[in-house]
Amino acid sequence: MHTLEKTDMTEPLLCIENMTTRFFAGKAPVTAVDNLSLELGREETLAIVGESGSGKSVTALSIMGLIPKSQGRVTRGSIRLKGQELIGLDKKAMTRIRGNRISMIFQEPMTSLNPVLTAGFQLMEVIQKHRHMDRQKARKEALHMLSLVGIPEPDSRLDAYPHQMSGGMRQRVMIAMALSCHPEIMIADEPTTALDVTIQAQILHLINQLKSRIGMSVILITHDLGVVAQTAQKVLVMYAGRVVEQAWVQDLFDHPVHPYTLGLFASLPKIKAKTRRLTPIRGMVPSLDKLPQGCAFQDRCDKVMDVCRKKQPPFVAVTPDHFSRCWCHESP
Amino acid sequence: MNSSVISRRIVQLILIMIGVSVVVFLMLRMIPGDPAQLLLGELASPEELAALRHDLGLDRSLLVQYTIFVKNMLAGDFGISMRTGTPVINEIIPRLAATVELSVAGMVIATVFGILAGILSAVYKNTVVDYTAMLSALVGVSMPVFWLGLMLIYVFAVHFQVMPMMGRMEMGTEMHAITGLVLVDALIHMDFAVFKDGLRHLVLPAVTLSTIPMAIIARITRSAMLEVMNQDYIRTARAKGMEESVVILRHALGNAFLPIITVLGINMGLLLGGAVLTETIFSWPGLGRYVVDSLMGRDYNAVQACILIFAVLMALINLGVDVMYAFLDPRIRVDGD
Amino acid sequence: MGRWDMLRDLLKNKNTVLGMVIVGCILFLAVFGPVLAPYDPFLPAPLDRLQLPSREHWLGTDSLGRDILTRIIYGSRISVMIGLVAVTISLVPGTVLGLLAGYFGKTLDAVIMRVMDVLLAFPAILMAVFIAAILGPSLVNTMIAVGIVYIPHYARIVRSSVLLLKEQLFVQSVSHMGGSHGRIIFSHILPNALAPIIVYATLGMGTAVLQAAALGFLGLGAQPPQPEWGAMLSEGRQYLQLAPHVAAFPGLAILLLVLGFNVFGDGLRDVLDPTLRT
Repeated sequence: MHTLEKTDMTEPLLCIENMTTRFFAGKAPVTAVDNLSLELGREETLAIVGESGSGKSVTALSIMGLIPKSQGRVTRGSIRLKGQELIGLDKKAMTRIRGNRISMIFQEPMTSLNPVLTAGFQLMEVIQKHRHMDRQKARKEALHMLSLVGIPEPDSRLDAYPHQMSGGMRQRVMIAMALSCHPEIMIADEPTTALDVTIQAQILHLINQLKSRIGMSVILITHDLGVVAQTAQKVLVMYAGRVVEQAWVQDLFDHPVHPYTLGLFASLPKIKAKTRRLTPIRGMVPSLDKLPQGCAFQDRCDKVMDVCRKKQPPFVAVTPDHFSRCWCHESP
Repeated sequence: MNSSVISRRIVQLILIMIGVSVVVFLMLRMIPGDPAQLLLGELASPEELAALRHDLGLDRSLLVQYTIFVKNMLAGDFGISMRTGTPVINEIIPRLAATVELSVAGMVIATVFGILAGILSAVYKNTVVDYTAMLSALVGVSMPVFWLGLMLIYVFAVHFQVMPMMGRMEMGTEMHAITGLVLVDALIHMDFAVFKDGLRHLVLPAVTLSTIPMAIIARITRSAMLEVMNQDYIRTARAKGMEESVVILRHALGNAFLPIITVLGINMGLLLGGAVLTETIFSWPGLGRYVVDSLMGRDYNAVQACILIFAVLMALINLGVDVMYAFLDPRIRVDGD
Repeated sequence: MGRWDMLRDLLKNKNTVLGMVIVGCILFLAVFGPVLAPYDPFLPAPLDRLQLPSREHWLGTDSLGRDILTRIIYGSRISVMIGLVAVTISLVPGTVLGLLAGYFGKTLDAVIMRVMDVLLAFPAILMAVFIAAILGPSLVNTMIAVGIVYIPHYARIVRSSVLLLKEQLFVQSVSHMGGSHGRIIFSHILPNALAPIIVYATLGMGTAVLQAAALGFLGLGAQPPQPEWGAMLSEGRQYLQLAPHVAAFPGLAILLLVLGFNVFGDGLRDVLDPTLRT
């Protein structure tokens, strides 16, 4: 299907270099994502971890080209899908990529589906648009997708409205929509946060299973390190718009090095831990328009030094595939 | 759709109608001036006056008069017009058709252009397009329609002479009425000359009548669209790669219709009221002008009938809005299971 | 919100400022009309009939040769007064009925609101025409007719804000401490329900001016020779072909005043009660 575009086999599937996204709607312009670079290989799952306001969702919307023009835009850098530059791509070409080659599911299954259209219509709409099928064929394909994502009685669900379904069911419909055109990449923005714990596991399992079946890559955005361990190969930890640590998942879980990542691990409940006490990271994420000079994490960091308050820490390789943005790596 | 909701609405409607009939009946009797005197003039003898009062039933008690009135009304008998001596119902029906034709035309114009302006305003929020549309809408809601009508007549009928000044058809046009709606009848008779003539006569009054509802619809459409465009499902539609036009017309407008429909219903009443002024200006032979004339001539029976018909029309429109609302919103239409 | 913050917000809002300027100018004309107006508004001048706008008569003259600008200036007093009086006539009983219905609920609520429903079942202008016809055509009766028609609107708005406020904790705690109904209504509920009332009353001024002018136009309002804008327009209608300016200028004056009230009301709504957007 995608044989026409130039494919450069040396390029990874998705390559982002020095992407900066800024918002201009407020009183002062705000840098929501600062100089982010990442690479996503074929059939790889990359997790982006961070608290709300860390810029992880903005990263996803930037890739999709969905930052509202009235509010902000990607001001710098490059996003390449198989070598094709997405930044500055015209609207029409971008609509051929969205939902087709890169699709996305969202955190809120309750509100992400259009309440006045049936689930089937919303599903068929994507299929008709990107796969150029007629109604009959699209309906068949929609039926197939619904059963693929494990919806019982897909026949009757096709004509149901969103309000007639549970949250887990709606998220399955969202996933069916996202996968219906066999995308190369699916971005899942906190896909399980709004769901019950038992449903969460089912949905994650479903994403994993379909990923290998379709042969796509996944960018999983989450604040939950437990989810990361189960699904991802690569991890990016973001804080206040910047990547603070980047590593293979095993590496990060075995040897987290950035104080913020360490804090995230310390705040996880551990079943085997001797004490039941959790240690949350003290303080709050600074607001993006009031970032301090130097390291953004300084006010919450246990290991803060003088230099942290003066200069931005560099992003350094701790080991060849493990990067961290902290002054603590400079002074052994 | 839940049938108990509909039946409750119908009961409500009947109660309101009873209230309306009482109010109309009582208020008419409060109008100073004796209709018998008015009909016979100053020189009538007391005997003649008494005889006419008896004929008109004016010498009975109020309660008896009201009972007779309700009984007749339910039988479709609105009495004899005190001015013309013909049954009121015969005078009303052709005029009702004229008012319906004018109101529907006005509503179509108001809806189409109001929604269009509202969408453009929302899509191009805070641009020249938005400011122009919203300033026009503000002027529109402040518009004295009778003045607008006169100015349109001056510009198009007097100055440029491209539009007829008044009435529904050229004098002397004969057409057998089937529906009473000139445009529809002309189409049935395949008489395109009359159709064109009727359309030319309809344009100015319909535009005049549509101004205020159009402005209101534009404003509500804008705010409804702005609210809907912020919803998660709009982001989903964009993420699916839908063209922006599909996102706006299918996904956003589909949801924004709900508040718009509500406002449309409210404004249909405004439109019916506006018909009183518009029909007066354009000498449109409709119910609005007829009710004012009847009121001035103290034609009780005619006024009674007209006002009741207006109230019934408004109630039916409100009922229609409820049904339409339910039809457009699956959360009401389909019972969750 | 403090009083000064509110004033600052009002002055920062483009709509309120524009509305205040328009309404302020017309108020200025209304107050100082007799000093400013160049001619006598009633005295006919047969030699100057139906003159087009000129240096002597900026807006021309009417069918009796009277200066239209002068009559519009005098008419501004009538229109502003109609707005104020008519809104007061609907506001006071409407607010009282709404307070009673919302606060006491149950049967009283049902009775009041059903009566309001019946009144709302008529198109507004028709109801006003009807009442004006009963009372007889005059300026005072116009204000009464227009006032009565809008009573149900205020009753509904006040009732719905009372219902909201009644549920809020602070009113409940007052009534638990044993405050009398009167005290609760007037010192706790009414002040908090004022914002939508003020907004609606401002917009209502525009509506009242419009409806009163319509009655004047139909011959059911102020009678000649009073310089009421609607009646002036009606007079001018006969001379539309010869002298369109006779009808045009009074209509423009109506439009401007109503626009002023509407713009001001829109701005007030944005500042006072952002939830009231319709």
